Parts: sequence; C-alpha cells; structure tokens
Amino acid sequence: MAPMANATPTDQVRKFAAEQFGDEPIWLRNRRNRLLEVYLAAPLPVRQRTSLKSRKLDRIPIGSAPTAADLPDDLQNLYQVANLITVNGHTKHLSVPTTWSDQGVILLPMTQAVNTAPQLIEEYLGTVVNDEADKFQALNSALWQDGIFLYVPARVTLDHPITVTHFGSSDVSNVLPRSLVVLDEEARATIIEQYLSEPGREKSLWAIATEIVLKDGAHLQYGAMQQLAVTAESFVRRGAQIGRDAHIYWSLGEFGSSLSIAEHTSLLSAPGGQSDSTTVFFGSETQHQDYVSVAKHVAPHTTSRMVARGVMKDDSRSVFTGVTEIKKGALGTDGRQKEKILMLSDTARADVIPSLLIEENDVFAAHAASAGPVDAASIFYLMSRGLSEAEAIRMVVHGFLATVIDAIPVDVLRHNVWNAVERKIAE
Amino acid sequence: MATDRQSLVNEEYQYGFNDGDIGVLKFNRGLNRGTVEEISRIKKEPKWMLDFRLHALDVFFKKPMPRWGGNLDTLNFDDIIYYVKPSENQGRTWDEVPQAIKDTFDRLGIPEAERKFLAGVSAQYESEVVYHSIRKDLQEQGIIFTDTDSALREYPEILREYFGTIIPPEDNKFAALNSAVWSGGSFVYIPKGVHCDVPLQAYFRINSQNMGQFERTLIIAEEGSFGHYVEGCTAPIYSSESLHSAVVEIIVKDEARMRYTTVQNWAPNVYNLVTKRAVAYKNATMEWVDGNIGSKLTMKYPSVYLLGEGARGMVLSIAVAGKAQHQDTGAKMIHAARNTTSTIVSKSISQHGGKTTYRGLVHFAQGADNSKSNVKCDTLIMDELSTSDTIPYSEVADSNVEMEHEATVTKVSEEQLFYLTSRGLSEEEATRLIVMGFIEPFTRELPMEFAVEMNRLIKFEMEGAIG
Repeated sequence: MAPMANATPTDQVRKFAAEQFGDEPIWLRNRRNRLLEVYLAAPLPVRQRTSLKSRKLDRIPIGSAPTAADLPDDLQNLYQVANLITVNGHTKHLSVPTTWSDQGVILLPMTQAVNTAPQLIEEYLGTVVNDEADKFQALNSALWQDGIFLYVPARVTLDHPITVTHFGSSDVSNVLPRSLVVLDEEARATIIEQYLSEPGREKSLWAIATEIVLKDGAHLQYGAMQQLAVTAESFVRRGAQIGRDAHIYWSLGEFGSSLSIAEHTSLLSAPGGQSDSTTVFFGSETQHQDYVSVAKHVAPHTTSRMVARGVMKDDSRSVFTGVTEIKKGALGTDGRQKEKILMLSDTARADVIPSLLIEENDVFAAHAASAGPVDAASIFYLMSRGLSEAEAIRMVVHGFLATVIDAIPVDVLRHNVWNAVERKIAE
Repeated sequence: MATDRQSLVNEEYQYGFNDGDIGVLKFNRGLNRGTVEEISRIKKEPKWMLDFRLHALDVFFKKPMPRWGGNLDTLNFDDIIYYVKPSENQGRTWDEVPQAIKDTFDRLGIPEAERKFLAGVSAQYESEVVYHSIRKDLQEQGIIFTDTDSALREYPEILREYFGTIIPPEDNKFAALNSAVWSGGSFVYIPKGVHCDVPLQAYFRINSQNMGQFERTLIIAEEGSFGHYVEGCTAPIYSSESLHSAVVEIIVKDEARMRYTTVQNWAPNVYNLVTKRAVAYKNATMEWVDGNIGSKLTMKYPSVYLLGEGARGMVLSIAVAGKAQHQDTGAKMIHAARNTTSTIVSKSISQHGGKTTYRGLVHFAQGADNSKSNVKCDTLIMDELSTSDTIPYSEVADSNVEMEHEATVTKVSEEQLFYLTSRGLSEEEATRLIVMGFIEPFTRELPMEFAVEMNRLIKFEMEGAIG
C-alpha cells in the first residue's frame, strides 16, 4: 500500500527531527530516525469499523515547532503535590515532593530523563508497546515529546497520586506525549494522565503512548482522562507488562476529541499477575470512538477483569472491542469481560465485540455484553416524583455509570470523571 | 501436521460408508465456462438459469478468497469435480433406485425411518437426487417437496420468483461458486395457511473422492403456514480434500413459521462452506437448529433477516471439533423492523486438539424499535490440546432495543466430576454425562431419531477424551 500523503514535505519533517532532537544521545537519535522512516513510509491505518480515509488526516502539518502558550486560568487547580504539566508537548511545570527523591524515586519529564536516567530509558523504551504497530504509533515513537518518566524503587510506596496534565493550545497541530512508568519490586504508585485542549481553527493530531513496567509484586493505579476539544483527532496506545503477583488497575475515561482511537493491553507474563480494567466512554454529536482493550494471559494463574460502560448520544458512533487472550500454558487463568452500552439516541450507533481467544483448557473465561435504552419505567417513576424528563434521564445515566465510576480508586480522577459526565449530559 | 492427518485418515471412520465409485457420468476436475455450460446442457435447463450460472461464475472468479475465519490455503479449486450424475433417470419409485445406493440407505436406516416418520425422502447421492417420494397427503395439501432440479422443470414460475433473491451470487465467493455449479438440493413450497405436521426430511451424502457437493435449497413458507425441514449428513472418509458448499434460502412470509434442522457429520477431510439465510416477514418465525460435527473446516453462520414487524428468529447450534478440525460457526440476526426478537444459543465442544470458533453478529438497524436479542455461547474445552475462540459482533443503531450477550469458556467442572464419580460412575461415564447435559438444550429440540443419532455420535466422539 502506498504511504499516506503528508501535509508537510518529507525532507522538512526529517530536518525538523534533526534540529529538535540534536542534543539527544546518539542511540535515541538513531531510534527516532529509524522510526521516522517507518512513519513516513506507512500507509494510513486500516481499521475495520472506523474509516480514516474521509478524515483528511493527511492535511494536518507534522513537525511544526510548537508555539509557547500558557495554561488557561481555569486549569490552575491542576497543580497538585506531585505533578507534571505540559503545554503543546513541552514541560511547563513539575513538582515532586522532596521526600520522594530521598527514597530514590525518579519523576521527570521524559526529555530530561533521557539525560538523567539514560540506562533506564534505554532499557525500557519501546519494550512494552510495538512502536511499528501503525503509522501514528510510529509518529509518536519518532517525534515524541514530554510525558512523564517515573521510576519507583523496590518496596517504596508513593504517598500522593501523581497527576500529569497534557494541554494543547488552539494553534498547535500535533501533540505527541510519551510516558514511561517503571515500578520496581513491590513498589506502589498512582498516576493520572489528563489530556485537555482548546478548540482550534484547524484540526490537531494527538498521538499518545504510555508504557508501564510492573516488576514482581508491584501495584499501579493508572488513570487517564481524555477531554480533548472537538478539533482534536487522537490515537492512543498504552501497554503494561505485569510481573509476578503484580497488579494493574486501569481507569480510563474517554469523553473528548472528534476521533478517538485507543488501545490498551495488559500483558500478564508472570504467574499471579492481575489486571483490572475499567473504561467509561461517552459519545455525543458526531464523535467517533474506537476502543480496544486487551488482556493477554501468557503465564499461569493470572487474572483479568475488563469492564466497559458507554453512553451514546446524538449521532455519535462507538466500537468497543474487548480481547481476552489465553495462551497455551496459561493454566488456571481467569479472564472475564463485561460491557454495557446505554443508548440515548436513535441516530447513535454502538458496536461491541467482546471476544475470547482461548488456547488452554484449565481456565475460566467469560463475557457478558448488553445494550439498551433508558428504561421507560424508571423515567416515568422519576417524573411522577416531580423531576423534569431531562433531570430524570440524567439520573438514569448516573445510575448506569455509578457502579464503575464510584469504584475508581483515586478521588481526583473520580471527581473529574463525574464532572465530565455532567458536562456531556448537559451538552 | 501431515503425519497427524495421515494417521487420522488411516483410522477406520465408523460413521462413514464407502460403497466404491458408482457414478455414471463424471466431469473432469476443475472449473471453467465449459463446465458450467455442460452442467446446464445435461440438465436441459432454461436459458435464464444458464445465464444465472455464467454470471455467478464471473463473480466467483472475481471475488478474492476470504482471509478471515478458517484456513482455506489447501483448498484447490482445480482439484475438484464439479458435477457427478449417478444414473440417467431420476428414480421415481424405490425399485428403480440402484442396489448399491439402497444398501447405503439401509445402513443409514432410511427405509425404516421413512415408514415411521418421514413425509418424503429426497436422498442426495453424488450430486443428484436419485430417489424421491412424497407422501400422498402432502400432495393433497398442495405442499411441494422435490429436488431443486425437478422444481426448475416442474414449477419454473415459483422457483424463478425466489431463486437467488435471498443469497445473490455477489454475496460471497462460495455462494457464487454454488450459484454457478449447483446441483440437487431441496425445493419446498408450503401454501398459505397449510400446516405440515410431519418433518420433511432429506439425506445427503458425499460419496465420490474429490467430488464437490453444491446443493441448493429453496424453501418458501406462505402466509400463516408451518413446516419443519430436516437434513442430515453422514459422509464416508477419503484421503484427499472434499468441498461441500451449499446455499440455503428460506422465505418465511407473514405469520408463518419454519424450522430447519441439520445435523452434519462430515468426514474429517471435508471443507464445509455453507451460506444459509432466511428472511422473516411480519410476525413470522424462523428457527435454525444446527449441529456441526466432523469436517476439516466448517464455516457456517445461519442468519435470519427480521424484515417484518414482530418477526422472530432463533438459532440453536452445537459444534464439536475433534482432532485437526476447525468449526468456525455462529449465527447472524439482522433486526430491521420493529418488535423483532432473536435468540441465539450456541454450544461448542473442542477436544483432541480441535478448534471451535463462535463468530456471530447481532445487528439492530435504525428503526428496529422495541426489538430484543439474547445470545448465549458456552464452550467446553476437553483437553490441553484444544482451543476455542468466541467472537460476537453486536451492532446497535437504534436506542430503543435490548441486546444481551453472555459467553463462557470452561473445562469440565471438577466438582461435578467428583460428585458423579463419588456416586460410582467411572470418570469416562461421568464426563459423558456432563457433556450430554451441556448439549441437552440442543438435543431436546431434535426429532427423536436425530436425537438418538446425535447421542450416539457424541458418545463416539467422546471416546478417548479422558486421560
């Protein structure tokens, strides 16, 4: 297949990369250059249920120098005890509790970590997600900008959640955050990544990648909130490699962006590993959302739980593909999925594909999926108690999402998700 | 892989009968325009059918091989004989049927079954219906039950009105192939308001090495009618690939109800690539009861297009995959009208290294208000060599619908085994009992003699599943 046309001439993209990353270590520059060629040569990704052709992604300029911008006032409350704020892919603010450094915790913007902790970056970068998986992943891996780098030494528990906020201004054409999280043995941490942007006059392209490595017995609570503006088109790829008796909790909220394509994978590669994944999505207007959640059981006695709740409004369209994969030799594994969709509109569309791919017999795998309307009897009951129809629908949506949102273990994230839901209902 | 298949083929296949080759007229291997013209000429078909076949052949050549589902790499279209005719004339009475074929039917128990249960036997032997009888009272009710070739001669208007309208050649590569070279199959017409109380039964067999079976079945249930069509297959074992590619089209008109029951037990070298589709109009009910045992690869997804308000669809299926076998089966329900309901129950068993795939689709079109669908898929994996995939697609384009889907994949419960063995059963007996219980929702829907055969087959398939 022919490579996708680009708005920016190939040589100009190469020149941009050479200038932008000239100060980086040679191994990293080589890596970027190799993946840049992969990006340039790659065709537009083909997704079975999402047509990318009509979206004119090739009209978005690549590799233009980002403009300086300030964080809007209403986002000032994002400053937390431990956090990183990036604007247009560049670090604007970083705060780390001093006690953490004493414990050997490394919390840095990625571009800085490349110089401060080069061995760790070289050891783990690109080992969890496949950087050649498709064109936009290759774009991220070639031109990635600041995300968070976190290393937590063995048996250290971080006493505050880390919040990472990625903000895009109205004139930015692409934002490419890259994060790497390594939790050593029995370490504990909580991270929340948020993605926000101002609506622009032109479209912007977000290609986001986060890699997570959990050593034996480590626990990570990872939350992500995507609330990009309608002019954003986003591609997200996340992966976690889960060690012996390690445990990841994914809590993902997907609300913004006109096109949102996101995949996250738990690779259960050692016995006793666990993955709990919750995805909440809410589509409105003409949003198109295409999510893939994967639990890949390679080692015996691993456990996965995958939950998704989606609310579909207006003319929105969503695809949720759950994949529970149990490989040969993964004896005694237990993989379960549950997907539920609430349809608020006749012109919305939701596809659910909860698949189980099983190569072993001493296992338990199950899925349950359902889709349905707002229960008319509930609405009638609520209205008979004096609520307006809109208010009644709002309460039903709340009830539908409450069991999963209230189970989100991090206060900040839980509140943010509820606020996002409120905004979507009111839209 | 090669040695596996070889040893498999050398074992005696207990439920297959091979009477040697008795075909009278046999084509050369391979497919071209001449083959299709010759088939049509021998059958003395009208020009419209020849044109239909030739058009379908073009479509077949143009369509690429499907890249999803099972592995079709070893399927060679040039190595297949596309038409075999066993005897010059159609057997009108039992006496005219060749003795070798009668012997096979004896072993299958057809004459016995006929006396007891059957309304008509349409026995497909080597691509052509050789024996065919309709009980007198069916004729008196105006029910037509004949092979499709005869229907083309005797009921050309009815056939032409519906033929290829539910599954056009453009639908998929194998439907195109069938449309080009079809032979045999059943034609059923049940007039308005007529209830056909006895099952209409047809036996199919493949009995010639490398011979393709391309039967074509068309069933029309007029308004308010009822019918139950039953089809069963047993096939003798052969050492090279065999292709079975049928097309079944069913039209269920307002207030009518149709049930189509199949139990297929193909030899482990058969590719079974079948397109089955029904349309159900207002308040009509279409039920597929589908059992797939054996074959090298089966790709079959019986579907119901619920086009009329209040239409109902059901698919009840089991798939059993043994050594070197892949059952890629499922169901499709397309809800295109208000108040439509559908149910899918799928039971899969994989053992001795077999693979089962449930691949299904439930689609709610915009405007399918107040429609409901319930899907339940359960899989038993009997040993560590066997695998299973469950891939259900749900598409919802209307807010006022209810879709529910559940699936489980497990091994035989150790708790149940322990309980049964503590009551004095051997592990093998206990396992068999659990498996029988697992597929019971299916077997209880079968006609009695099928249920008996089914249980026998499962028992046979289960042997050696322990340890």
